[in-house]
Amino acid sequence: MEPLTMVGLLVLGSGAGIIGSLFGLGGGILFVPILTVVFGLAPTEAVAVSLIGIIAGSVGASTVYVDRGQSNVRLGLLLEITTAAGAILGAMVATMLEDWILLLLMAAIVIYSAVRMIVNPERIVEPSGDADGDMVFEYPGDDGPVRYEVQNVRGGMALCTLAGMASSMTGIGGGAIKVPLMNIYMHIPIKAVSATSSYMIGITAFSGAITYLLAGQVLPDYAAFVAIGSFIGAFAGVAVSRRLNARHLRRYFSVVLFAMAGMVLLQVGCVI
Amino acid sequence: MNLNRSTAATLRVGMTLGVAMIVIGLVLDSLSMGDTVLWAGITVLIASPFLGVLTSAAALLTSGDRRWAAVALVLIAIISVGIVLSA
Repeated sequence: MEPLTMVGLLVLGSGAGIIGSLFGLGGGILFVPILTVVFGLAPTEAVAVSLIGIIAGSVGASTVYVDRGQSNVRLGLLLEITTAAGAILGAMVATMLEDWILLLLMAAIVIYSAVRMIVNPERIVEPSGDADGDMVFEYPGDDGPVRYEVQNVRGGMALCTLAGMASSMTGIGGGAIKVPLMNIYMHIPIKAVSATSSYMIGITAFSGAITYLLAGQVLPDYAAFVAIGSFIGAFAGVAVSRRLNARHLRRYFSVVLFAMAGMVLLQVGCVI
Repeated sequence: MNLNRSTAATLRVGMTLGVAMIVIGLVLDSLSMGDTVLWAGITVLIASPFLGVLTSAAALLTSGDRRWAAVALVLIAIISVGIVLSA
């Protein structure tokens, strides 16, 4: 492999690691096109490499977020159930819809989420008194522990099914749908959301990556450099995240969502 | 067994082992000494999130947190079904 390609893959991996650890986004929509267009990989090879980059970033960030209690592991496991079920369903029905319809739908959902993140301020439901229900959690905030009560759990689980379907049908949208969903609809503080999503995207990507690995579609050297870059990016993202307050984090998140929507629309243009 | 600490510890082991094997594997591969270690490193890395879920399930079971342990076990079952269906 050319030294320039190695450096390029490390940089790409770092970008994926930062987006994954800072926002809880896998960023496949941004990285798969770069891997195919710039690095000349076949689409399936690019997806496989991207998934391994997502796993590396997720594992790296989670060693810190999970340990600190910033990721809500219980809630992550719960929402991952319907996400994974949705992904299985999506794979079954994906062939029944035209690609461009799916992509256009995704773009619309992502833009809607981005606008909601800008328009709606964060609203956390503080548990009353020393209430200790199943859905009362806390995470270490900047000024001590923050307690929050998760709202709309059933609705959130149902919508995660759709997020899972969308991500397996179009290869995008797991995090882009789930992060705004958890923050706006389920009223979970954005710092806990991004850390929880960082943890979840690794589990989601695992199912996909293991299939590509078994099918022999993983390019080991490409995957290796992207993974190393992604670890570096993940720790950089964790460090940056500590310095960002919730309001800024949500604003930057919206910017990334708009960029993602732009990439989706570009793809629609290519498909049509 | 503390849920967060044990899950993070598993992820840390997976990450450290995976990175070490990937780096050594890349060196061996560039010296034309085969890519077995590289493949092993990538496999360890890919498996880490799932090993983390298994650890979470064990931590929840041993601490008697039955409802959340059930959630972890259902997730493990669904992920397994997904892999079998797509393989």
